[in-house]
Amino acid sequence: MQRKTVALSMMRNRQQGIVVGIAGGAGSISRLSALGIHTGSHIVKKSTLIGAGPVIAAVGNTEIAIGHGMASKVMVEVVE
Amino acid sequence: MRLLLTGNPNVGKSAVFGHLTGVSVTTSNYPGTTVNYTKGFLTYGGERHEVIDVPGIYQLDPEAEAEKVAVEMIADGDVLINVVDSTNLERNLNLTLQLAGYGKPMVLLLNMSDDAKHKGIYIDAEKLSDILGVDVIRTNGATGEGIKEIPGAVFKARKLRIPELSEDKRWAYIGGIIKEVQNLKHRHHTFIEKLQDLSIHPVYGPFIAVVVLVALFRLIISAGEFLTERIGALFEFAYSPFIRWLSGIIGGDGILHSLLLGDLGPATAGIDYEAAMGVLTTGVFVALGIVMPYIILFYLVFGFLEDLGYLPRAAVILDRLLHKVGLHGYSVIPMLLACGCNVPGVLAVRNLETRRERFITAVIMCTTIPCMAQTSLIIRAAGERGGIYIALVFATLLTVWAVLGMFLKETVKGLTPTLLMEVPPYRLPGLRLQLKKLGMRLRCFLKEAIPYVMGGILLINLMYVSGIISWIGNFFSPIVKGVLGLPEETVSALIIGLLRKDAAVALLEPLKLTDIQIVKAVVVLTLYFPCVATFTVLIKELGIKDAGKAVLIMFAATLSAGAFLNLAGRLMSPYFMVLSEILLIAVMSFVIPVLSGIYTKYRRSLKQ
Repeated sequence: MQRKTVALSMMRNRQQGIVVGIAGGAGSISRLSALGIHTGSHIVKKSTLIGAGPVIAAVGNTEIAIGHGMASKVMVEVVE
Repeated sequence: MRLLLTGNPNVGKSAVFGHLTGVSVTTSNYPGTTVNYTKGFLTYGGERHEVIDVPGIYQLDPEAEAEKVAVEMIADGDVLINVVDSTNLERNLNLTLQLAGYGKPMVLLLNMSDDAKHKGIYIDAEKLSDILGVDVIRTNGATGEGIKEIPGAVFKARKLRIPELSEDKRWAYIGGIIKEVQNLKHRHHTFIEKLQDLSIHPVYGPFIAVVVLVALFRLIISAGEFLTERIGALFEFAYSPFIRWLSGIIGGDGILHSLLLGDLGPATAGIDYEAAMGVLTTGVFVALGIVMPYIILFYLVFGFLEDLGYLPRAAVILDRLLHKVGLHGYSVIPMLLACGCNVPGVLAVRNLETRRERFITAVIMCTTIPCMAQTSLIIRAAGERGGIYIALVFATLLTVWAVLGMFLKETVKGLTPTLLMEVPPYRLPGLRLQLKKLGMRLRCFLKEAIPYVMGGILLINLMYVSGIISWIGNFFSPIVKGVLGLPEETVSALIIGLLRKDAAVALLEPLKLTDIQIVKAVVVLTLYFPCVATFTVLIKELGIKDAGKAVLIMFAATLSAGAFLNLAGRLMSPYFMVLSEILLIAVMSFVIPVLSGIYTKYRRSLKQ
């Protein structure tokens, strides 16, 4: 068991973790936050569409589709 | 007083609005169904109060056009009815707390309370009300439960009683509220949730999408053919005697006869309603006998997918593909809407964030996507010549879609933001709501189609009689005959196509065109200009300047596609034409970015 910080886009499907930071501009941070993805939120990776497609992740009961570029900026702490 | 229904997208504001005011508005299961506000009235205590259904927002810092409208409206309200999705209390409260800044009286609706129960979520409404200092009502927009408590609460509504918070403190504060009022029960994955996961799966997801789209298309074509045949027989049985009787009264020929009834053929045979060209024969038959069955079928299936929640999933799956034309996945939703009718398609473009996305989506949609009314006649006109001709029409339109899109991606300035969208859970659509929605759309179609189709045929008959058609035909002959290889009379269809596309395709029937000419004519009719209703909203949404650019693009697309079909039609069989179009898309997806790169380098070297 060890804690590791990875980008949301790099997480395995069904892996979960806590968002520890968003490496993006104020615009992306506020858009993600409005949908419930902010530092401290519990997130579950659902799927990544092939060919660097969008990432689908669940926060609470909401599933959110995030473009690959933005998903690679969401840093998540996972336990492995 | 003015009451505003506000909240996150896709929480059921429009459904609550419908129950509250009795005004029917379109509801469905994807974020961004409502793009404009709808007004209704609620009578309470002997007074009429204005109720407004505001488009959904996640925050007060708006991105898309529809969100800007919403935020501007909130300032003008007297009481806010904040509709909250009970299954997503945490995220929804984020907006609620931001709304506190307006200092307006508020009532909070815990909507979708039945959904929350199924998901094992229990919310203590009394405690939440104590914490926030406003009335909290449990509602269910689908059934209308809890709605009658709203008016009483609204007229003694209080202001939110919470401290002012900065953005990062806000989530912690909400977390505290959630801990106190929400109780979760663990439960197993249901069948529908497994289906949800499957439809966004990296491998099965795209596979399901292809199966769904192909099945949809096949189902609409075969069921449509079956229905139109039956309705044709019904017309012969029930309507023909009336037409024959009317023909007898009018006197068999003369101007009035050819305007109203057209050429009925010998009295012993059945009437050819498509070729007769009278207002009461072809006009009525095209609208009711051909287009209506397809409209019903399309909206039956589309309405189901829309309310189930499949549209956002299609957007996710097609996201990569749309990046190739400078868009992201959400544009799939306006484009699918446009397959029914281009008008709501153009309106839905408001949900997109940048001008570049709005322009590209609206232009490739209005240029290449035929509405269902037109599709039904394309299937009929091209299908008579063989299935391959239907395939050739749609392959050509797809080619224009792709090539035009890739071209616009390189030339339209601006940014395309990445996809960021809530994907709502699947919800099984209720039969009553489905039928009501179908009825609404059908009424809208009948009100539009019948007068326009009948009026269009009357107009064209008048133009034939007066000789205007042959004059215009001669004038445009170099383009129509020279470039496109169509007979001059096709101009009549092109004129009516400005009014209504289905009536225009119907006008091709008596022209006795060859197989390839039919394909060319329906492709040209789709591309050259949107119908007048679509063009009006296009001007409204894009502005006159961009709409003007759109028109030029459409003419260019028409001439290129028409000339290509004209040339290729002489050289190869329709099968090879379809293949060469697919090849063309592949080649262009390589060539266009390279050319664009060379051009940018050239421009840069000029500057230095």
